[in-house]
Amino acid sequence: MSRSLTAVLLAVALAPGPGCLQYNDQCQPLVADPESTVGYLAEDVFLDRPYARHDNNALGQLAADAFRHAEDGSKAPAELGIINGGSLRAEGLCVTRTVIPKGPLKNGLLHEVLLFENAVVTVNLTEQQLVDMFEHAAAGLYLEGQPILFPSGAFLHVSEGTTVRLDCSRPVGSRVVGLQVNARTVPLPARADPSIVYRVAMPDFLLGGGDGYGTIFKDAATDLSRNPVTASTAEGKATDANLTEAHMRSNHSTENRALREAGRILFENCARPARPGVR
Amino acid sequence: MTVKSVLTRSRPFLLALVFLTALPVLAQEQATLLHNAPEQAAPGVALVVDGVLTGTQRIMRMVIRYRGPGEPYSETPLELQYGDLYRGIIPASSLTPPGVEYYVEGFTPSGERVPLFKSATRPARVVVVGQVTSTRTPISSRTAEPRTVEPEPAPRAEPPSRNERTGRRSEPTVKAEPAPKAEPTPKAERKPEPVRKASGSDDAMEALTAELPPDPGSTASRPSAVRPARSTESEQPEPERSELEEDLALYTAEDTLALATRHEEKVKKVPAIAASFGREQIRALGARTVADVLDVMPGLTLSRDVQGFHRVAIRGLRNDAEVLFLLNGQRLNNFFDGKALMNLPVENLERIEVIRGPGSALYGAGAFLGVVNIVTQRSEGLLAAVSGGGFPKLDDRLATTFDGHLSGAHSFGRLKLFGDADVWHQVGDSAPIETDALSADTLAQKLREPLEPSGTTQDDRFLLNLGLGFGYELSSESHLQVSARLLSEERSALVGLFDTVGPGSRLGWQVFLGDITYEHELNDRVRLRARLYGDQQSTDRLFQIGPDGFRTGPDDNQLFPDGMLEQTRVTVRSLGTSVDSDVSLFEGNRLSLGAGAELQMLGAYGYETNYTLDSRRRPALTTPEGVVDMLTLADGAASRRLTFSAFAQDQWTVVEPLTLTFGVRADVTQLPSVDNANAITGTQLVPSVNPRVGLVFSPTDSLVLKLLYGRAFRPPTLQELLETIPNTYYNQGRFEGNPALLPAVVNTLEAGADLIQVSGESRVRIRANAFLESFSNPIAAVDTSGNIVPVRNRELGVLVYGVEGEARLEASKRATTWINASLFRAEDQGLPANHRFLTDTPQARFNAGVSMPIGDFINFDVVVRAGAERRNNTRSVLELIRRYKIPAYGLITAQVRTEPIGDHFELAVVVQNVFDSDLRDDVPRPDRMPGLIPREGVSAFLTLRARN
Repeated sequence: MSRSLTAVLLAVALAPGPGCLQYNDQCQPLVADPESTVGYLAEDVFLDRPYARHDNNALGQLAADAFRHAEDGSKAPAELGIINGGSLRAEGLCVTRTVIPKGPLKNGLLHEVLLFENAVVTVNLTEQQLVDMFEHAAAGLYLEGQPILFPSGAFLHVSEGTTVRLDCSRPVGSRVVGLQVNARTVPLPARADPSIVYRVAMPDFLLGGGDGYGTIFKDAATDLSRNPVTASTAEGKATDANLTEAHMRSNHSTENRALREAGRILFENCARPARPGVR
Repeated sequence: MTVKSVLTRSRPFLLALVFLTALPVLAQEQATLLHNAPEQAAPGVALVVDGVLTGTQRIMRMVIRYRGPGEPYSETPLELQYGDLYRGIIPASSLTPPGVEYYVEGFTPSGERVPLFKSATRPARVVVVGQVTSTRTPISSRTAEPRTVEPEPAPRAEPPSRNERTGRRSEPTVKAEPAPKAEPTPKAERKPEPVRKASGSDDAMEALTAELPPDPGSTASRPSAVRPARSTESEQPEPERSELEEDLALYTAEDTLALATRHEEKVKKVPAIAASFGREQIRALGARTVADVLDVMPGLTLSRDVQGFHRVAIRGLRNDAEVLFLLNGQRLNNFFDGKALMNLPVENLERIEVIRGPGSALYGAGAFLGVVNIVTQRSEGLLAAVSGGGFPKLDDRLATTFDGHLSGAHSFGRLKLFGDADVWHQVGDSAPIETDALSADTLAQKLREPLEPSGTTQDDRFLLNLGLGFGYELSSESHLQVSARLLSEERSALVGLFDTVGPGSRLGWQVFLGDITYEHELNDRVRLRARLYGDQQSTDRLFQIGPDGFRTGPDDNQLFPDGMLEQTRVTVRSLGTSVDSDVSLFEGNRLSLGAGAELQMLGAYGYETNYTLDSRRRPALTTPEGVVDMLTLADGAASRRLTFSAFAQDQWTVVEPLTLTFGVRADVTQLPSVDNANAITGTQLVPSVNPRVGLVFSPTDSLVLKLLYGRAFRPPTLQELLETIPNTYYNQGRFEGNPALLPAVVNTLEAGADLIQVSGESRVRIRANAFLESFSNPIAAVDTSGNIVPVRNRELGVLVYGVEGEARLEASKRATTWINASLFRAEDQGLPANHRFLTDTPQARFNAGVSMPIGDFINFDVVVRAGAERRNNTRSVLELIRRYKIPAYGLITAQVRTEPIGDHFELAVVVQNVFDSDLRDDVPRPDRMPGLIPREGVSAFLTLRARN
């Protein structure tokens, strides 16, 4: 009896030490080659929400460019690429990074910033949808002088050649005061003619209705007349991060072609996040 | 080639690269370590310091310099994890209250020390709160200083390859990558997990148990053993059992269990890993509800979700539809969502039986992770109990609870009437929820003050449980039993629908159960039973999203004076019949045969909101556009399910010590058929065959060995198949039904040993078992977008393995102690090796209890429950970045109760969660509700029991 007791107590004492318990290691890199340099940044890129969701952002623009060129080889290339600011994440896998210093950008880090791995779909939008889309993107912007408390992830970054002029002093729904998609100047207000279309590449998250775009895009993702095409590579479905990585490698691979933020969204009377320190 | 060699080879190259790139700008920019020091840390838990090194200054290596109270500074290295991420660990021994200080220094190539994060004069200070040993149980504190740096032998996963990564992120059903190549972690100390784990030495396990040592030879003396075969449903404690025998039975305390074989048997001998808690044991636990009892069973963990449902996890997996709940043998799980209204008061219960694992081939669909049978008291006489108490509130008042219970049975010749009734009213505990998804909005809209929490938990509940029935001896061979039950619950949501506090939420649930059983003994060897049963369940769940007066925008129709509301009303019914028979083919052999048919159907389904898809107010609750009407889908085919089943099980005692069980169950289940576009076209019948083999061997009277194999399946619930609700900005976390879901299947292998030692007055029972469960096509909800949770079959399956141990010592009838522990790992095979663990329930549990007499009339009981840290699963990238940890916990219940006073009365005072430990449960969105779900705090109740 006392021997049994001893055995029990011993068993408890030796019970698999809590040290045996292992949990998922969050810090494991997402890609096989996290150390490879995909390109160079000409300046520090800030990842805090106001910089990703309330201002132009070099990495957001890079991704939008990559999307826009995803279907370049096809019969129906995109005229415009967009990515929502909420797709740029600062959380990282285990350490939050608020800034990526200028200089070489590592593949592992790029994939931590664009970590959702959405597919990219190129689709025709009507002019009305295009304008509504930018109105929705601008709806969450704060007026100049207000603190940027909770910037909306629905804010859109756009590809090269596109300029969106926003006036935050105007009511929500009519904040877009100028819009140019490549050579095409979009008249405002938009024309209702459904035959006027713009070919736009975006993450399937947005097209599927994420961030409140569902009421604007409706069934565009499945409407064959809109010719939705999902970007793919030889290995299968291309993801937003992979496309961006490839675009960075082919366009910003050296220091003199380093990625630099451009003023594609022009803000009027809008709050802007302060840029810290020296540029 | 091993990972190691890759790393070894590439590291010099990387260093060289870093060196070259750094040269031109040498020392231009000061290096710093980007790191946020935590404000607080737990005592005795190693602190992990992660940081990112920035700047162009060359740093050869980095060290953390730290000191605990009264210590000089010590150093520990920071190691490169990958990229620019470094990690170091401050050993647990330095984390003692009041705090620890640290800073990080780097060494330049010239050997100079430079500060990278804080400095010796201004170190980071982390407050260490609490006492190192505060909540530990005596036993766990004995478990030794866990410590620190025991080399962690666990294999370290290879960094996922590109392919694996794709698999994980976008297409969870892609192949699993090859098994991780094991590589000894170069520096074991770097693995933080084991260290943290260790610190919760009290986390580790849970155990308790149930059955006590049998008196060798008592077997024959117990009526139930002698009587052939009583069905679960009809089980009344045998009337012929005398008071003395009852005492003896309790003393030797081997409880009966009908669940595993449909026959009452000693737990020791049943071919399943089973536990049964009798009335006395339930009382000694200080338990008030079924959930209290289940939480101390080895392998089980109870948690609550934001909506306030109690959820049972068995062996590391938690799924409402996978634990079959029976009330007197009749299923309680709802056909629509698989949830069961099971958290009944225990006062009227005869016992609670649990099979862990799919051990029984007898119960068919749903008996998947385990089976719980709740058996009400139907013995002759009258039992009554009243109880009152509650939770202290902030303003020194009491959030009261009152409950009353009555059960009894009386025979009039051949007729026996029995019934039970529970009434339960509680105001419920209330704890602040600092942050929810709308915290920012409610603050901006001035719906609360800046320092006020977003809301509080609400836990009021009214429960009515009425059961009534009669048994009639038609003749000496045949017996008829009719029973009916009404369960009605009305309560608030603990938090709300999803990630937002909804104070106005009301959840109603009504259950009607009816059962007619006819038993006939054809002769000594054959016994027949026919059963007709039915039930109806109605749920009405009204959720408020956000507070009264909430605005979704500036317009008039964007103001919600009563909050945003949504209401789901579901009615389901089922009707079934079964016939089974027990045949005693020859001495020592018993064959059970049975067949059944059941129709389950959705009677009504309604989903209404008071807001439009673009979050504007509607004049009244209205069904929004886009809601699928399940009743009319494919002409209603999808809302009905017909099941046919047949089983045979033979239990054969080959020689006295060896009993073999062979069983097989075949089910045909009607499930929707879908076309290529996942649209439902009709129904199909899905067959499933589930065998079961058991071997029970008792080489001596004191030792029983079991080896068991079983297989079970569960079809998807209607909700998992069909319910799809349009997504809007404010109602997040929706189900997105998947009509193409396949039934999940589990194969289980279990081995167990029971040892019973009797020495004079005292007895000790030790039981240990190991199990391996392999799930194919498990149905899991995976958070891939944050708004909608698609339900999928995980094609590569889930593997769970673990051990459970229990011990119980009885020094006398009133002096007992028990302990149980369980440890298990659940691995989702479809994920990369480093994200494979499913850890949203504690992987280790430990329970213990002591009952001791204080004088002749008072008994004192203490129960300790402890659970390991929990973390969220990371089956998708979203889940990955919403990382959370729920700390280990230890809860203590203490009770003082009297022996019967004047043979009729008993008084008990129980205090639950004595030290008001801050137990918390997981939330669906830890990024929006960082405080998790607060659980019940300290509470006290006085109970008076009476019997005639």
